[in-house]
Amino acid sequence: MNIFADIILASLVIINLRLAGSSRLGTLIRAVALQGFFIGLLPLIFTGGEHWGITLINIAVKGVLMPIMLTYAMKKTNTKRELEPLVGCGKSVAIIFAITLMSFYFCEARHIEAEIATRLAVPLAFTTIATGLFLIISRRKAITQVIGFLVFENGVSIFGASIAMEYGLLIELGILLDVFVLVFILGIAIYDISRTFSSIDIDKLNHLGDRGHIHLRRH
Amino acid sequence: MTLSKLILAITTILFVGCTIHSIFYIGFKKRTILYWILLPLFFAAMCAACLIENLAGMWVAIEATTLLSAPLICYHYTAESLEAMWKYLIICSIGIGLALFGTLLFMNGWYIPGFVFVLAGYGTKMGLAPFHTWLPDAHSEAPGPVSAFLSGALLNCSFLAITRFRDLLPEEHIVFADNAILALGLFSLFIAAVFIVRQTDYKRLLAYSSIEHMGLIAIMYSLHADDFIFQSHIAAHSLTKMMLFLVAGNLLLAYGTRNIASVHGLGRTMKLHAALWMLGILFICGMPPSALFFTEIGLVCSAPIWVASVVMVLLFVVFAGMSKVAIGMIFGQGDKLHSAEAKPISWTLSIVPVLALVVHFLVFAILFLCCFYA
Repeated sequence: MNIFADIILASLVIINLRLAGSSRLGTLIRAVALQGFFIGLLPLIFTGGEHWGITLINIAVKGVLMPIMLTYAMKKTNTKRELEPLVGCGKSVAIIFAITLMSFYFCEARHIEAEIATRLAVPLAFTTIATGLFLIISRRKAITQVIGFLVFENGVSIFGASIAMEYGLLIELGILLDVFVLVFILGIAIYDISRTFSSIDIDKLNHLGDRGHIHLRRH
Repeated sequence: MTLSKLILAITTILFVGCTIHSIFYIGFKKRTILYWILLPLFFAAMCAACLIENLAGMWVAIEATTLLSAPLICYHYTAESLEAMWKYLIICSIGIGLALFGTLLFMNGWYIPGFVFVLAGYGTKMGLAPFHTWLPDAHSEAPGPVSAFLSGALLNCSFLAITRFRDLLPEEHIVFADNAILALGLFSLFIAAVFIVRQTDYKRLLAYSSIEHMGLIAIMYSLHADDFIFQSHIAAHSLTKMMLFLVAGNLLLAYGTRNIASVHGLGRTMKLHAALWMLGILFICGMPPSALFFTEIGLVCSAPIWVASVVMVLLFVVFAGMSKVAIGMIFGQGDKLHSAEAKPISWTLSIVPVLALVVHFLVFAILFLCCFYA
C-alpha cells in the first residue's frame, strides 16, 4: 500500500510548486482541488480501505465543493490573475523548493518517522503547511489568501492522516464542516469586499490601526 | 470549582447580560434577525468548548466560535467592520489551524512542539501578544454587546484550551510550558501598556485592556497563583469588561464617534454614564473597591521579585493611561474642533451595566470577607 501513498505524496510536492509558481487564479483553484482529492485518498490508503465513507465526503468537500465556491467568487469579483504579487512567481518557486529540501533534511536528521506510515508524510505535511502560509503572506488578492488557507489546512490533514489519528467520525465531520463554513463565509466576505472597496486587494484593507490623529483627519 | 465550570458559569452570566442589553441596544427588526440567530449559537459553541472533553472536539467548538462570531463583528456592515471581520477570520483561523496541528503533534507524543503550536494557536484566539493584532480591530468594530461577549467570554474559553494542554504535559516539560506562558503574558502586558498610553479610540482602549488582563491571567496561571485568586480575577475581569464595553457602546450611540478627543463633558450631559464609565475604568485598573485589586495584590505578593516589579510598573502605566482618558472624557473641555454632541439615549440601556457593577461589588465584598476571616 505504501507505494501508492508515496506516489500521491510525491505528486503533492509538484502541486506545491505549481501553487507557488502560478499567478492565474484558475490554475491555483484547480491545483488546490487536485491536492484536496489526493489528500482525501490518503486515509483510505493508510488504513487499508476502512473509512471509505469519510473519504468520499472529504473528496466531495475538498476536491469539488470548495473549488466550485472559489471559482464562483472569482467570477463574481471578476479577477483572473494575481497581478504584482509581493514575491514574484519565480522567487516563490525557489523559496518553496528550498523549504521542501529543508524540511526533508530536518526530518531525516531528527529521525522522527518512528510511528509514521511513510517517511515522506511528515516532511510533506510541513512543506504544505509552509506553502499555505507563504501564499497567504506573499499574495495580494483575497481569493489567494483563502486558497492559501486551504493549502495550509490540507497540510494539517496530511499529518493527521499519516499518524492514523482516530478522532472518531463526528469530530472528523466537525473539522470538515468548520473548514467548509469558513471558506463559505470568506467567499461572501470577498464579494462584499469587492463591492465596498471596488477591488479585492488586501492592501486596501488598511483603515484600522493605532495611528492616532492621522486616522482622525482622514474622516 | 474547576476552571471549566467557572468559565462556563461566567459565559452564561455574560450571555444573559448581553442578551438583555441587546434587546434595548439592537432591538427586534427585520435586519437584526441574523444577529438574534447567531448570538445564541455563538454562546452554544462556547459552552461546547468548555464542556467537550475530547481535545480535537474542543478544537471544532473553538473554530465554530470564530465562524459564528465573525458575522456579528460585521454587524454594522461598513468598510471598517468588513476589514475587521476579514482580519479576524484569517488571523484566528490560521491560529486555530496551528492549534489543530499542535493537537495532532501532542496526541502523537511530541509534547514540546505540540505545546508550542497549541500555545501560539489558542494564544491568537486569546489575544496574547504578539498574536493579538486582530483583537483591537474586532472589538472596536463590533456592536457593544458583541464586544462585551467577545472580550468577557471568548478570550477565557481559549485560555481554558491552553490550560488543558498544559495539564496534560508530562512532569518534565511543565517548567518549559510555564515559562513560555509567562513570557507571553509579560509581553502582552507590555504591549497593552504601550498602546493604552497613546490611545485615541475608547473602544480600542478597552480592547487593549483586555489584552492586558489576558496577560495578567497568563502570568498568574504560569506562577501557580492561588486558585481562588486566579479564578476571582477571571470572573471580575469578565464582569467589569462586559460592563465597560456596554457603556462604551452606549457612548458610541450617544456621540456617534469613538474618538476620545471628541467626547468630553460626560459629567454634565450623561451623569449616570459618566459615573459608570469612571467606576468601570477604576475597577478594571484595580482600584481598591474592586475585586481586581485583591487579585493583583495576590499576584504581586506571590510572584518572584522581578516579575512583581515589572508587573507593578506596567500596571501603573496602564492605570495612568486609562485614568487620563476617563478624566478627559468626563470633566474635560475637549477639542472644540472635533467635538461631538451627545444625543439622548434610552435609560433602559444602563440597566445591565448597573447590575454588572453591583455584582462586581458583591464579588469584592465576598473576597474581602474571605480575606478578613481567613
